[in-house]
Amino acid sequence: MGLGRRLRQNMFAVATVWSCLVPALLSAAPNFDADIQPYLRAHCLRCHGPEKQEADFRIDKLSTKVGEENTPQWAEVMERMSSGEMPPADAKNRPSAKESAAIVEWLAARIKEGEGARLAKRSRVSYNRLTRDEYVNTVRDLIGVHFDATDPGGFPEDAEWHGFERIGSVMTLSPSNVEKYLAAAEVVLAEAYPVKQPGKTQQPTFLDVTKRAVPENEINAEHRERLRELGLLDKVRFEMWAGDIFRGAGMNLPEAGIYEISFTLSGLKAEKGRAPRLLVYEKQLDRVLFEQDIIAPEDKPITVTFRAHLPKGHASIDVINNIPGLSNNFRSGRHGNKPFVSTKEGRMPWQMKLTDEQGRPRYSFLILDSVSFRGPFITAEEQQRRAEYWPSEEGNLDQVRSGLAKLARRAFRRPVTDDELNSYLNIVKAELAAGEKFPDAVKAGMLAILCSKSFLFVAEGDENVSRNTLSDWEIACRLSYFFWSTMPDDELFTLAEQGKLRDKTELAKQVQRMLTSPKAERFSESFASQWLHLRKVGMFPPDKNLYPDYDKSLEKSMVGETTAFFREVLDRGLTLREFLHSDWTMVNSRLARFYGLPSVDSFEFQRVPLPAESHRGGLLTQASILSLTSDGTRHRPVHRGKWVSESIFGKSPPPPPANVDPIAPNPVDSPKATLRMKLEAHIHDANCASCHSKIDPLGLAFENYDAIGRWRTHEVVEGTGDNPPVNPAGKMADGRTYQTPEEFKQLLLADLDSFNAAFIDKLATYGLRRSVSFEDRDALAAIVKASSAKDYRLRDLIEAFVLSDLFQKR
Amino acid sequence: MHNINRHSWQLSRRQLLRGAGVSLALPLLNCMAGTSLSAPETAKSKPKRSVFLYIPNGVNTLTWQIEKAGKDFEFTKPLASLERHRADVTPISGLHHPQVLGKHHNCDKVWLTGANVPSDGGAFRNSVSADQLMAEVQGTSTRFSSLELAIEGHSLAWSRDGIQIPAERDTRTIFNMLFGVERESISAISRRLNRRSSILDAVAEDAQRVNRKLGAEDRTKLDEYLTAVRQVEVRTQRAESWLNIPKPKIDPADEARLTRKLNMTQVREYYRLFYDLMVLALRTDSTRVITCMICSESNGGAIPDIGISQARHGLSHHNGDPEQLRRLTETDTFLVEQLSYFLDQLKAHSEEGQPLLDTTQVLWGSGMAYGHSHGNANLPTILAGGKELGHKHGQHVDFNLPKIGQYNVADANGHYRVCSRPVDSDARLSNLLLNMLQRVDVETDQFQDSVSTISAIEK
Repeated sequence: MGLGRRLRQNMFAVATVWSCLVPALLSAAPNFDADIQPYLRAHCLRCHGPEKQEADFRIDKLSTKVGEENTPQWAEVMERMSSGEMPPADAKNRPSAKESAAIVEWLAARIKEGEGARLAKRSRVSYNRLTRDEYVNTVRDLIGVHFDATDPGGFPEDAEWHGFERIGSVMTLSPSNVEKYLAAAEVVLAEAYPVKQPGKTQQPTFLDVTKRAVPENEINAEHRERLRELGLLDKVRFEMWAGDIFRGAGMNLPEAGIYEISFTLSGLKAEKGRAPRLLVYEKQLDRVLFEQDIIAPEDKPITVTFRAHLPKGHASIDVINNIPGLSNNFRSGRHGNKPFVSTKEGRMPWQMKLTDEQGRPRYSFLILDSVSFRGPFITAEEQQRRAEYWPSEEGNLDQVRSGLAKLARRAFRRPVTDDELNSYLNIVKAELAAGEKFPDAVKAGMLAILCSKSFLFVAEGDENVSRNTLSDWEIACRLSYFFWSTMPDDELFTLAEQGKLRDKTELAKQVQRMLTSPKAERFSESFASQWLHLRKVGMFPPDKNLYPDYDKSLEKSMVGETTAFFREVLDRGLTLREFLHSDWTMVNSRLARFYGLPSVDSFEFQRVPLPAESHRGGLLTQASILSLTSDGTRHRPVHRGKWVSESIFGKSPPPPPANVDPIAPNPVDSPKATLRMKLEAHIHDANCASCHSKIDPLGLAFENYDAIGRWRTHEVVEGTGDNPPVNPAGKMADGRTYQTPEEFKQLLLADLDSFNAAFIDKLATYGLRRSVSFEDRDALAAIVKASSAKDYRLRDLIEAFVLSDLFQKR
Repeated sequence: MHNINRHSWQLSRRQLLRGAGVSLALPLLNCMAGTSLSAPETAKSKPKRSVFLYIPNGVNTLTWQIEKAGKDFEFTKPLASLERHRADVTPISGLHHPQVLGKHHNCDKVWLTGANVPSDGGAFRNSVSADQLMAEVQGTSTRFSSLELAIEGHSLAWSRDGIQIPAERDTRTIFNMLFGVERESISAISRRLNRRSSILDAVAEDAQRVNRKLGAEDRTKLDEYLTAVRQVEVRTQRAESWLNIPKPKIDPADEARLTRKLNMTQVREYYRLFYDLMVLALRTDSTRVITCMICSESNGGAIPDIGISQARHGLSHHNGDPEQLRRLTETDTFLVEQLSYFLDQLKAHSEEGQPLLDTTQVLWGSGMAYGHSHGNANLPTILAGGKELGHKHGQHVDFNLPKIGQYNVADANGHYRVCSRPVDSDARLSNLLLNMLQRVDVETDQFQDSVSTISAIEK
């Protein structure tokens, strides 16, 4: 009790100090008495106060700590006001919708802060469960085995909070998670330490096989002789039209592991058609291994190579010419008896002609030569990791103990106590005593380490004492999971052991080192996805009739652009301004075509300049963002506005009231109307308008982009007459206006400081694995200042965050 | 047993199991709330079964709405296939979950829980779903306490901690789980389960050691982990106790039919495969509680069989286009026909001279009504079966008519309002879930925000 009161007094003191020193923050500091009490007295308490309690509801008795106490009641007040139900229409001196909206916003902000504070609340030890991606990366670095967590039946998706997937207090753990962890660890250990067959060599078999798509023994006898005489027997190829499936790529794999798979093939594109696409699919795993458009002349086949982690045994692989929108139909869908050697040879009379008189392809098709498998690949480091935990002598318990000690120390990312170690050793002993084989008994001990809380959770804090600063080991973890989404490497461990990670010079050195590592790509991918909610891209798959161009490959390219863009800003020392507007972007061949930019010949993302007429630049007009704020069928201006408000300005608008009138459909026999026109007709109520006038302008700037982000000047809609032109003009809540998306971006650039602050909040939420709260304000303000002093350069901003005191606090 | 006394302080669970046999109830297991160790040897109770089936995005409410209440009602076109089951079904109008109104597509997560869900992506913790409460009572004497399935999408079932219980979507995996012969020998499985038990013991003890030092408020995440680990121990025990009891033998023809590899290009066959598996699971008393999401709010529901390639989500945002509305009605009709097929199968099989349907209560419905504007009042809801459990059927129970007098679907916007805002705020889906809980012996007079049971469906 006493402690709590002192704490509150301290917080009050902090707030008072702020009011003297930082006038800018004063206006932001909420004050119940000043901000909403006058309104409540004037408009609410007459019926919900001491004299009268309409509906048995009293407002004056509610706690003034909105967001902390009486939250359901205050949420109810907010809801009734925001729906326009309260104050009632016949009330005397009914306040204007604008006045009420200000109160609704105030309440919503406090309730959100309260939720944030509850999430940010730190117990003596905070347990942050590894996310699915972190688990995979950590296991890989720990024991040198890749685990396929995203296969069907693998780990479920992690829970998110406003897009963030690594907030410890939000992540849950159910019995089925534990079962999956057990099963995963069994699979990983089985791959790291395969059961040795008695009498076989110790060395794992390395597979290196190339087989022709049409091997000699599959050619019918008559043709075989003919081709042998012509010297063409090894030139037989496999032609694949749209939707055709080649089932001969399967292979028996000696061990589980990473394999390199290559296809040598040609890809011929019909002049007007889409490029043929190679899709490689493992049926048993239900996993697409590879997908890429292939364009290569018939006489100059190319080889494409990719890596995949596959289990031991038979890989059932389908190779498909997966051109979206086309299907394998009637005559074209049959191979003849006559082996295919060249389009010049012609086909059977009943077969569709693949080429026209001039030899140009009539359809887009693939011609497959051969497939190769090499593997499993194990790096020297992976091999070393596996070996150092394993006893070299059968039955040697001392070696078991030291192996388990090494594994546990790295798995727990901290020194291990003797008690802890003994409990794992005891499992091995008990297994041996129960008559289990030695390797199985050792694995049981390892299994326990991989399923223990100290491995599955990144823990911060100490169960014996309260402390607010991180230990060196915890800093090492925070760094490595922040930049690399994985466990610390040897250098970080060494520095932690030497107690050097609180030293800012050393930290700055580590930031540079870690950002230079290829593993830093994970930061760009993971943070950008979570900040911008990229997981939502494709959540409502676009309607196939309306958007026939849309497919998984485009979807991946869209997300790829955004994460590659983030990485470019980070790697090239660019500033936050680029996120709002840029004269360049990152595209691959698919996306360049989609945007109508000059063609690019690779699936790899590359930086290209953006001409003004491309109508692109910055994050907001990227297809990923425009798609994730749509619902697959229609673009959604209000959602786009809400997204901009949250992701760019860090402000969540109050939720819509529950009793909104449904939007009336637009009958097909009425004149065509854009969604914007219908929305504007719908929001006639002043209660709605007061809130929407703030959200909508942030989304209406993108009326020129449809539900998958294509540029348009007219909206294609149902109804009679011509498709109506779109209207991308708007007026911001502060009165500034824009006519085009470009002008809107300029307005955002003028608000760069707000974006800077919001961005740093997001970065901190990600890095600290918790929502930021009131107590973090001055630390955050310092980072905001450091960022603007460095001209908002992303790299400097990130360094400022890592070097801040906040980063070393729990 | 001789080493127990000497090393009692270091006694591992493994040694204990070896020494005393698996039937020994370990002290750790006794204190587990909400779970009971299965004892297949004990006398089986008479089965009381429940099945929950979810369709997303609501329906075409204009063609769906049955206009007359009571026994003397006519099934509308999409519901016509239920005519043959008239005596065994009750369509219900006017129900809703008060805490989900206007919250977009989150309604599938709370269909069986009724919990409050944030509309803005904020922190969400669900509460326990009705089916899991039923599984606690009805699931003690079956091999699987409940079965979570999804044809497309995710699970409908949520644990007492509000954590989603993953659903199985692969029909062969489901078949193998229920009826398949294990590839490993019983002794190998037994060894693996034993090893798991000792590992679980060790990690639980490790967590417990820290947990003891923390105050109650500080323990949430660690408690969650401990609870999960202990429940897996119970499951491991359960698996072990069923190890020597052979799975039901399935006729080879049935096995061949039920392990066919089908896909979504033949939706009718694919759905029926799921329904057949459910019927077989109930017939063999492998489980008494099943949830199955037919498709999810965001994805699925295209039915190439009847020429509809759009997903239901797209169709539900029909914008009043008559063609889209027609297609939506077609898919509604199709989905109800599959329900009718399921009811046929449950009628066709009997147990002690009684149709399986009479001891199986089936809830079919959606968490949304008017998908175009995300209206989730007046939820499409059909209760079927379970006569023997105490349900009364053969009428249309309607909570709107007493207040609005009559429906007027010709005024589309007017009817859409009925589907977006509750007409009767006491007509809650939780009331119906409460009925269903009580019918299968869950002793409670409250579920979530229920105000009462629905007396009209009580015998």
